Amino acid sequence: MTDHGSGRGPLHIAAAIDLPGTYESGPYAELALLAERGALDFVTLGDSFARPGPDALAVAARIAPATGRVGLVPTVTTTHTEPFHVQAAVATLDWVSRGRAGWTLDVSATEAEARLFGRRGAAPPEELWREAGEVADVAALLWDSWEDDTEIRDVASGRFIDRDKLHHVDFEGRTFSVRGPSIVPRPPQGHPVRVVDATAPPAREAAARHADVALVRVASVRQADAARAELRGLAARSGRDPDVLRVFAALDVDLGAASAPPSRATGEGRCPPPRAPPTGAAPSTWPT
Amino acid sequence: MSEKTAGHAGQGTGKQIHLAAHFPGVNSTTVWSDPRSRSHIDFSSFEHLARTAERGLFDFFFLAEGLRLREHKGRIHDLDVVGRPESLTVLAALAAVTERLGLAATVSATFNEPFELARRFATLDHLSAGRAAWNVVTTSDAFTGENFRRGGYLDRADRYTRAAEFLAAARQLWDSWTPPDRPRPFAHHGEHFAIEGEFTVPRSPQGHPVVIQAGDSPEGREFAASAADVIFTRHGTPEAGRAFYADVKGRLATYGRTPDDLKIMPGVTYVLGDTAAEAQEKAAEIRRAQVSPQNAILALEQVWGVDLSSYDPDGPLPDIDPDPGSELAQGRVKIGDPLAVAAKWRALSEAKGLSIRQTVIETTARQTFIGTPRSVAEELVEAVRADAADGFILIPHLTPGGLDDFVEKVVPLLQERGAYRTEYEGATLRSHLGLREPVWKG
Repeated sequence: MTDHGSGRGPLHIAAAIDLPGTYESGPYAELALLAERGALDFVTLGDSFARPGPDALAVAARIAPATGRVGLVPTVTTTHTEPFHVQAAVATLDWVSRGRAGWTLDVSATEAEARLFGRRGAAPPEELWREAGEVADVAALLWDSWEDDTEIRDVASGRFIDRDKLHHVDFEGRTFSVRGPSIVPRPPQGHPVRVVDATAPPAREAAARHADVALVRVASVRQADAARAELRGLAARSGRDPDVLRVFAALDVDLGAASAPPSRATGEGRCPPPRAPPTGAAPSTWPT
Repeated sequence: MSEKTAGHAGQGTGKQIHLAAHFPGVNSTTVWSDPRSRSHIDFSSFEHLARTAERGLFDFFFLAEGLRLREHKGRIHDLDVVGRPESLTVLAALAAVTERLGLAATVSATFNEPFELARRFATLDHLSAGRAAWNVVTTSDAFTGENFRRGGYLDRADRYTRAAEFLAAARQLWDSWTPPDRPRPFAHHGEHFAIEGEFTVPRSPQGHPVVIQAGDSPEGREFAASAADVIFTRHGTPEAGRAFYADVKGRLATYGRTPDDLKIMPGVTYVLGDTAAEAQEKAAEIRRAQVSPQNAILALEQVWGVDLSSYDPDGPLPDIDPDPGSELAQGRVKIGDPLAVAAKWRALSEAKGLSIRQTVIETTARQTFIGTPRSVAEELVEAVRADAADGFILIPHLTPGGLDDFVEKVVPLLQERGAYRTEYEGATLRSHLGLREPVWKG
């Protein structure tokens, strides 16, 4: 096993709680609570305009009050959405969950998705991931556009806020610009956690530059090691400390219930991954 | 309500009152300087108000929208509450801590796209088991547009045609699945939108979320009559309320709709006291808190359109004339005719000997119902029975306790008079409002 140096703390585990065809909140809340009992870092909720399913961020908000500690990480796409709305919604998820929000950035690359909006044609993934990176940048700027102690409620001067602590962001991207500041005060975590699925090559640069957590779907320990090394290398080249980037291996876990489809778990830690997740339900294995 | 003082739901013979609650926040009604005032951002404040509204058997809980922080003299306005969380996300979370209360979000039809927004509202309707409502607004200007890809500016007429087409497209999406669970392709090609594909969400429990329209303009009234379930209005006097009510209800027949298909709910404030005198005293106190000396000068500058910071709020009004072309205030509704408003304010100030602050208090503070719980209950019942309204959207001035006394003291009196439900009869917002479920257009 190659030594990657520092950056490996205790094992981190997350779980995907996607439930195709489920539009009510109960089953999602049950899975999130199960994950919470297992002390997982976070649960993810996938989302795409290209297939049936509810708005994932809304589902995350809906289950926030029922849970207390587990992170809530919906997918939020950046191609046909408004960066200003996206950052406000993610910041608000952080507020309603009292500091447990993250978001998995994703792009909408198909012509079919473009036709749902009728505003721009499909574009190459490289271009869309560059834009996703800019959305991540402007989100961070907007989250920081309110300093933490902006609200002062100074009755003597009649001022609710100290406006010197609010900042226009004046972001000029290739495809959009945002003046700012945000309408939402800085969220409890400052920056909700950014997750990128870095399995596909066009997403890797964005993951290395912008993600707190990169997911890689891999088939073996060796692949996981290689992907992690590549991402850390890219992060270092973009001027980041590679240790701030967590790399999670995504794998399907068969919990042994014959009728249930495998659920996806992701984890970062010393390779090989643990024999049993903290839920202790069943051994997890590398799919072959 | 723990105390069912009289009768059962629906037993009253007269017209029933509908009540809704407006979250206090970014407006000049909210008093943040009161020691009881808490966060306008923390989820606990939303939860407290929503739970109180549900305890009071309200139809729905209403959130306003802001897409750019307001500016004044080129700087961010700092005298009122500033900032708010994003509404649809807050409401999804509130669906977890309430069971029957309708959840209404104000969302611009200008800075959104039909596919995504229809999907977000359909999702909320599913996640709340049929309690979602959308207050369709069209406020758009270049100032707000600077935060969005779309940018730009639409003139007034375009704003409404775009909103109407947006809503029609959304309804088409909400109807696009074959119940219960088969997606079907949709296509909408209009002046403002050309979209096609498959929607990602089955028809939601209410069929279509409840649609609210806010605004009193002729275009707004027509839009509401053609497409809305609830109209959120501001009426001044009972006479103005009755005229508005008759006008809007009269427009419904053109669209094949009946008067019951559109509920008229003015936004109102209230102040309660144990005696009429005490209520008046509290009301005056609240007005003074709403219009701080700094806010009085700012209100004046919004009319005059020039810097008046050197004026004494406790002194007389300026004798210079307003600048009608001013861009001093950004992100606010424009004052229609500054010269006329200034003339009116001057006349009032001279007639009553009022200072700047007193004049602003007198002209801008909106307090609709002031009195004892009994007199307020009677006025509410009377306004509804006289066809000045179908109900009210209450705008409390305090977060999060601003509804407590109303629910505790006024609601039981409305129930006693047979004018208000003593329990929720249905589970959906449509059922609370007595609205029909929209026919599925397959």
